[in-house]
Amino acid sequence: MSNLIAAASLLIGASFMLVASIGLVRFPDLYTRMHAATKATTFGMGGILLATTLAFGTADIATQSALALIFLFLTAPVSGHLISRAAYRRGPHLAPNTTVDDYKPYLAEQTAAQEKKAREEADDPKESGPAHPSAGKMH
Amino acid sequence: MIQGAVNIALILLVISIALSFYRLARGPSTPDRIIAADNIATNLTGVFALFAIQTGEKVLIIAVVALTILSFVATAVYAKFLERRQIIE
Repeated sequence: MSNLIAAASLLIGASFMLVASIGLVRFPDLYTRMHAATKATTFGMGGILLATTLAFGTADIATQSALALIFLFLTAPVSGHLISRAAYRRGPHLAPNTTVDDYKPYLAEQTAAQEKKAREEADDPKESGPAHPSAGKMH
Repeated sequence: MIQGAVNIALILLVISIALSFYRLARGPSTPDRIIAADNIATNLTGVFALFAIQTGEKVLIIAVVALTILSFVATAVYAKFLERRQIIE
């Protein structure tokens, strides 16, 4: 019985990982590709690690599989977020049929605030020392 | 029965890795390539888990944990490099 469940979850997990890669190839821009790769792959690894737990059926394998699964569930969204943020700041190459872009006004607001702060520091040399040539740059 | 399922799953994962390699070679931008490399790493952890079931080697599950952490660190460093153009500052 546990072998049957293990085989089924193995096949479900592997087919989800295949679907993720198909999405990685077929989707039009970076953000949709990232969405496919992070979500479906995480679920697929969940199925495969559940299968290893059931196939071995011992406590140490169950603990290590759970540890790997927890790490994967914690790190996959974080790495996807990091990559998409870095890619957007380099220059957003959105697909032409994108309708909602919530990050653009927020980013414009942030850069405006930063430039204002840099200008104030440059106008007020007593407080912040001499105006540095790289005062307005992002570090 | 579980051996047959492992074989089918290995074939699916190999196709998946091949598709990710297509995206890695094609690009078009650097973040696309990074996502493809991350996907390949995750698929490889799946292959490790499948090998663990097939051969009965328990050590390979520890390799799955290590590879998961390592692929996250690699992706985070790539993202930092993309954003600031330097890794150690």
